[in-house]
Amino acid sequence: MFKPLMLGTLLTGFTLVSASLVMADGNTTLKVTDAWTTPALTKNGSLAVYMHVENTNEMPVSIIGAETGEAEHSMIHQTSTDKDGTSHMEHLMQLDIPANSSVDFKPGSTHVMLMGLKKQFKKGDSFPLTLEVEKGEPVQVQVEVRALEAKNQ
Amino acid sequence: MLRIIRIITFSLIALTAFYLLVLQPQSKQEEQEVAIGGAFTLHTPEDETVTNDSLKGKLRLVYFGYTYCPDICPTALVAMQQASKNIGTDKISQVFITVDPARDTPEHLKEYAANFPGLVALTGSMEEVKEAARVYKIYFQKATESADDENYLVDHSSFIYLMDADGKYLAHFPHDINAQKLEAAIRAAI
Repeated sequence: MFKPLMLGTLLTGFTLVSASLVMADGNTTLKVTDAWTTPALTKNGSLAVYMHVENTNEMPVSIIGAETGEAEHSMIHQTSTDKDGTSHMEHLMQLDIPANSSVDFKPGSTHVMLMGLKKQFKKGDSFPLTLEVEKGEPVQVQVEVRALEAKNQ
Repeated sequence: MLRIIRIITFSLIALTAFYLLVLQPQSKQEEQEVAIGGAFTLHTPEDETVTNDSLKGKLRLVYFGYTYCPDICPTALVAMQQASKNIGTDKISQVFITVDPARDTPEHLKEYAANFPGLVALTGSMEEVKEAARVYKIYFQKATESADDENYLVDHSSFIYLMDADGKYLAHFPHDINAQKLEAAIRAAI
């Protein structure tokens, strides 16, 4: 009886200390590199934005959305394809990135879906995008528009 | 006790053998008998009618998708384009059939297809599209989870089909196949 209680107290204490450390730290940020998309294929079309997101924090960080002035809607999407070959895109309300790990946003997988584009981007253009982070500063990203062929490497 | 275990073990082996030798080959045979491809009538953005017969004479790659699909559709079309270019566009045609005729108007489809030289982009009435999807065993369904009435997603079968010069099924590939692998797989299948 005594031992579990002590362990529990220790764990609670540890959690409180960790939490305060995080609070003291304040900014939970993510490192985003290699953000890119392809040229818009039509006017008012959709685009998928890909990137490498690294969480260098000692705690999990959650992306809870994306925003750009260039599109009517920006959402974190996850493409999945079942064994029968049916592809489906799911809107992720929250994407958890574990401590000290990274997530690749890549074709056929996680991406930021932009719908209702206001501009028809061409190769060589770039535009800003913001990732909204739970309990942290939003992350500003510059998205590079690459050739369409970059999709299939 | 030991005897019962032996009997159970033997029965299990016998049942497995029966399933593997007798039942499974039959189900595989049935699968093969479900033909992919057949008659359809669709239209180019210039309103030319395209049918299964009018495409005969060349191998064909067929992909069903929609222009507002930003992730997997362009990836598949890029692979189709590069593989076809290397094999020879005189030998193989690339066909894209929309599963979203409401938004993929002829004008919109034309603009989209211009990004993929040589792509035969097809649309039609919902009935015509449904019929083409049925003969190619393609499932598609407007996703319930959509931003609003204009910005919706469509779940759809995403195989790239390879058909022979008579429009008969040869092989299928996943949408994320690498262009070089697709080219090699096409060459191996023909």
